[in-house]
Amino acid sequence: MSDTLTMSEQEILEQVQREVQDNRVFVFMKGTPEMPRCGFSNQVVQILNHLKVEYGARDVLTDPRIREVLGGWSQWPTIPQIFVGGELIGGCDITTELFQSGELQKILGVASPAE
Amino acid sequence: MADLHELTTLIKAALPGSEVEIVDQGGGDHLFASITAPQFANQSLLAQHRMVYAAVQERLDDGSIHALALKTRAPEAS
Repeated sequence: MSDTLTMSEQEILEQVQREVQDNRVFVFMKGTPEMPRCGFSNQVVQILNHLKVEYGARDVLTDPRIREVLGGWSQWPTIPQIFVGGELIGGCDITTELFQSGELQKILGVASPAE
Repeated sequence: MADLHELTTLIKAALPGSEVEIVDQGGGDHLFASITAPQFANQSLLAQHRMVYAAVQERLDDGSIHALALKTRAPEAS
C-alpha cells in the first residue's frame, strides 16, 4: 500500500474509498494482520483468519490523518472498522457478535470451519 | 479518566427508557457498557452502536474514554 505521508487529506480520503471499493473485505486497524497493535484489531483479524477470508488491511497508525479522514467519512469513531462489499459492518464488538451468531459467516458467504 | 456516572446520564438522556450498566475494565478509560433501549428495536447493531457513540461523542473526542466496548439490546417484546 502506498505511503500516505506525502498525500493531502483529499488524496487520503480517495485512497480510503478506493480500498473499501476494491476489496470485498477490508479492515482499518492498528498494526498489521501479522502484527496487530491493539487487542480489538487483533480480535477482528483472528476472526477473519479463522474463517479463512481474504481481506485487505490498512494500518491507521502509520499516519494519524488516516484515522481522522476515515472517521469523518464512515461516521464511526473507533478502530478497527471492517467493511464488506463497500459497506461498514462495524467495529470489534459487532464483528464478534455477528461471528458468534453466525450472521457474519452469512454476510461473508463462508461456512464456519468444522471444529 | 471517564466519569461513569456522567456517561450513564448522557446515554440515558439520549435514549430515554434505557437501562445502562457501565463497567471499568481497566485504567478508568477502557469501558464496557451494556445497554438495553427501546430505541434499538428493529435497528441493526451498527445503528444501535452509532446511537450510543453519538451520546458520548464528546467524551470519546476529548480522550476521557479510550475504548468503549458495547453490548446493545432491544428490550424483549412484551
